[in-house]
Amino acid sequence: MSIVDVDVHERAALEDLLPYLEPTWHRYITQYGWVPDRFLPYSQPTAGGLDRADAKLPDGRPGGSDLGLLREQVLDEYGIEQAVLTGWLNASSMQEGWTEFKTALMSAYNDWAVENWIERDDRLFGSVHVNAWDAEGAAREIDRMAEHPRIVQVMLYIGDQPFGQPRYAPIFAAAARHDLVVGIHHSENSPTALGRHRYFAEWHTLVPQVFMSQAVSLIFNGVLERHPELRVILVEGGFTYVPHLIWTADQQWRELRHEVPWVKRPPGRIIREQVRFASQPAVEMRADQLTTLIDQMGSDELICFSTDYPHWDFDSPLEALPRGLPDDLARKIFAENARATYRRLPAPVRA
Amino acid sequence: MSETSVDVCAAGDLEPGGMAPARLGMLPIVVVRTLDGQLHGLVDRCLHQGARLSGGRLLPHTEGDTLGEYRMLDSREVLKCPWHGYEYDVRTGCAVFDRRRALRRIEVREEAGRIVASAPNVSAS
Repeated sequence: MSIVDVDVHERAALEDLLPYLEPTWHRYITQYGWVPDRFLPYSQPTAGGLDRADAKLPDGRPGGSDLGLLREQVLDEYGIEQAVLTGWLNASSMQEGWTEFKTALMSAYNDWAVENWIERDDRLFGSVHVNAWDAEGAAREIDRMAEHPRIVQVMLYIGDQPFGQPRYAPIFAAAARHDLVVGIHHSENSPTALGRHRYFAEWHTLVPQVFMSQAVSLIFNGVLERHPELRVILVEGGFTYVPHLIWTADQQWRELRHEVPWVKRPPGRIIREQVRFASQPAVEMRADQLTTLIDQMGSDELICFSTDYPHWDFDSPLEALPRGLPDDLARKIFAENARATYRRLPAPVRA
Repeated sequence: MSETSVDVCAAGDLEPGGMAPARLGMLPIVVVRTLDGQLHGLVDRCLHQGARLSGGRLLPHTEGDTLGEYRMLDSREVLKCPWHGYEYDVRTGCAVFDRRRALRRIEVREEAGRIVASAPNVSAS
């Protein structure tokens, strides 16, 4: 089975970025101790914290820090043909502020990822990380990185802002200009509809809420109508919420279309034509339950397989989805849907 | 009925609270020595997505009957999967959240200073 994995996290230590960062900014890391915003009030109460326990490095580095281990545990282990790197340290999920520094840091991160990961394994493809608070700067960074043929995506991590707001328009225009997918990814800074709740189990159960918020924001603010060729993928929220999203948004559009007359197509149709959903975190279900969900979505082209390596809720390509799926559906989920979405992905070279 | 055995390790190499992975023919197993010194053998493969449980953690079972109450039961250790965190009672192999879902138990014993695991009907290669 051909597999494209649309969510693999590589990770840098801040010090790793210094050679790629303009010297002006070095001292804010080396002397003033800047660290990324992190608003999660809990630890991740799993065997290995954020990571699979077996993906952490013996020297204490977090999962995703070592290309060799990534090859061993994912690419080679499961015969993955192509993987889209989704990174770490995305300023879009942080609070507004220290804008120039964060824009420069994203640029350094992108150069680090290209040199240390993307150009070191033919199976790996990259994302442009941007500071969405500086949308014009983000667009310039997208223009710069899009010249690299192995960059396939613009990455936005979710904080507490809906990305359909007009101030983000330059980012979507730049992505569309270069035929880059916009990947919208959950983060530790993503709230629930009611904040953070008391327990990690609550917060993690409610992860799909922010994805529904982002999809609704992009649809009703006209982003996807403005760029009908643009593809957006929602990463790390699973897919079981999609029928609810489609059915409810369609109903609201039928009832309230006059408030958003620039939305010409029913939201469900916009989703089916332009929005995709990474599969992880998969939930236990039977094959007939999955096919029922897909039937309710109205398309079998919306789900793209993802592992979320090296995180603790990693999904195994062999075990995460139910056994007994029809072959043509499995081929779509594991590879064909991703290849149709990431149009900059080249045809895989098979040995 | 044939029985397959494997020499897992020296008995003294497995301390209370420790785990030792091994292979019984084709079957991955994990031997656990609980804090009371008893040995327990389980198939080393999570029922959820197949992770090697020997890469996880041995933890006391946590109980609580009212909001905010946490009671750690040292007498009932659980093996927590290194990936998604499914918990198994090492004495029974049962998933803590559903006793109907259980890992296959493997017989283990100390024999002349060694820990030996054995099971019937295991594919040898």
